[in-house]
Amino acid sequence: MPIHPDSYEPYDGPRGTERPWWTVARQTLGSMLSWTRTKLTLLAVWVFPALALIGVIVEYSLRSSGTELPVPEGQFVGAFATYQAYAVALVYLASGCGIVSHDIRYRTLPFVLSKPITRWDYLGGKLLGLSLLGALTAVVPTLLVGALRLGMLASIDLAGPIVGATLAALGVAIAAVVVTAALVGAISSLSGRTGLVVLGVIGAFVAPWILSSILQLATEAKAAGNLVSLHGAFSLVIDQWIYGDASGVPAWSPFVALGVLCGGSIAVMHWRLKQAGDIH
Amino acid sequence: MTDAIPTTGGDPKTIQVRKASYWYDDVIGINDLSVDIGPGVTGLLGPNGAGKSTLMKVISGQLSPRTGEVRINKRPLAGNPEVFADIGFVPEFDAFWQGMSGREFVVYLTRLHGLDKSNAAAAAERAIERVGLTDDADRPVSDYSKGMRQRIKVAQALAHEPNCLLLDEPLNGTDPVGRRHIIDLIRELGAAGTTVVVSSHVLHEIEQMTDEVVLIHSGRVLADGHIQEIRDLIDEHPHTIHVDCDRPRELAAELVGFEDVVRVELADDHVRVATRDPAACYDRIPRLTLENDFGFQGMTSPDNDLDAVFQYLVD
Repeated sequence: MPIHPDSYEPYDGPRGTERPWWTVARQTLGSMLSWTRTKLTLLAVWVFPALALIGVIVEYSLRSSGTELPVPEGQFVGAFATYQAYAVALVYLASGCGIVSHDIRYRTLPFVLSKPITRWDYLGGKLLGLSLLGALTAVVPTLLVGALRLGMLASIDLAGPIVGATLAALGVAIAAVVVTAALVGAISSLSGRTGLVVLGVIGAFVAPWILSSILQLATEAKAAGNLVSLHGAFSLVIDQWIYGDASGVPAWSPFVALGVLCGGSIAVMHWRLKQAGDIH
Repeated sequence: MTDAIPTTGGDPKTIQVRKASYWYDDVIGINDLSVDIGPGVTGLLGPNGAGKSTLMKVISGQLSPRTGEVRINKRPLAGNPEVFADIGFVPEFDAFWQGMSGREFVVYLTRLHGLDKSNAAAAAERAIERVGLTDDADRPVSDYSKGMRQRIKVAQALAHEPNCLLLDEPLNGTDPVGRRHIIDLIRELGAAGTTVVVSSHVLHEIEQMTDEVVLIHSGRVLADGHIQEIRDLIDEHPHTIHVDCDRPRELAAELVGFEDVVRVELADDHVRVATRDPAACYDRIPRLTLENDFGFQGMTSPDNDLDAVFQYLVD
């Protein structure tokens, strides 16, 4: 029997300090941004923020020229934050459903998981990549519109009433980006058939919404009914943070609902990745 | 029959599997399997469903064994992701990301080893050159032939210079040129001291790469040792080759004249040849089809003869 010499010399060349989750995140984002449907969806959802930017400039011009307008309150910011939560859902639906599902479908998961990375690196990278797309959808426009509006209103001493609301809108946008990414990531990890994942994500958005409507009709507990749906929970947060409305439920309840949804989704994703060699 | 741990390759042992079991619901993948594998090329041979791919997945960390342990370079694989820096894995199936070029594919996977962009690009370039795909590196992998895809998969496994290379059915669907390239590369890596484990259900493929084999059957190591011992057994059973070509009737007429050919079966688009000298036959068939313009499409071996040997060993 031939005996081979162990002449192996380990690679001792330069190694970067780049974290694998960051590599996965960049690849995930780059891949999504290369798709035409992502570009088109992003353009579509940016139409409203673009109009809002124009509206802010018009508002500033009118106020500067002495036109009598009501003192700014949170309505505009509240409507903007609500829109952003839906925009994130739409962009994720169009482009995010394949983040793990494509790796299952195209059987590329074993390549990644045979590298020196943990399941958490992969999971974190995928969610970060999707969240960066969500940030382009919601956080960046919120920052742009909010900063421009605050800056212009501050120059005519009217920023005071809406500083808190604008920061709250930013918080809502970030929460929508992260929680919705976790939900979409979890559903994406359940199947290699991306069409099924899209249906699953639509179901996860719509079914609780219907349930929430039934609960509201049956019990007249409008706020409590909102707690069972993702966008209902966001509307409760917007009510509290932007409109200062107590909503009739404990202040912590929408945050707990969103936290449980986010944590549960990440747990599902990790559980699926632990079975990676079994996933087909 | 012995209780000693099956051992192949040189020393020190790179891969140590101890009493590893994995089952899929009611189906056993591997069953209380132990094996030590050291530097050099080791063939993992077994019929379809024997447990080869499960063992590969367990060694490459895709699956955690339900019982038992795997060590790579004496370090446990479980909960130890840095061990994967020593492993290069080529999965069995055809897999790639849509829209990625060969170079992007290798660079991305090399960067997961922590290499920065320029070092990963340089490592990927060397690996791509090694598998002979430099001229095609910037084409989308989706445009590659099956053989080129196999080679780019090997490149991603080699780029970080591992000392343990696991190749699951690497010759599946490859054309003769790609097949020769991969075989030469595997032999070269084995001779240089890399521990290379190649799984296949085709004895002849393994025979071209190594003399040392581990036979897997029903999730267990059935035997280990020199391939000649297997060959001696198999010579009692003719080897079957399935040849796809445009003119099977003419190819069949050419083949029946050779002494080692014991049977030729003809169909509309292929010929099945049973031979007692597979090595000669594997060289002869592509040559004959090219010389006579028979429109060679490819050849595979169902290797029913190997099943017969396994049956003999089991009995």
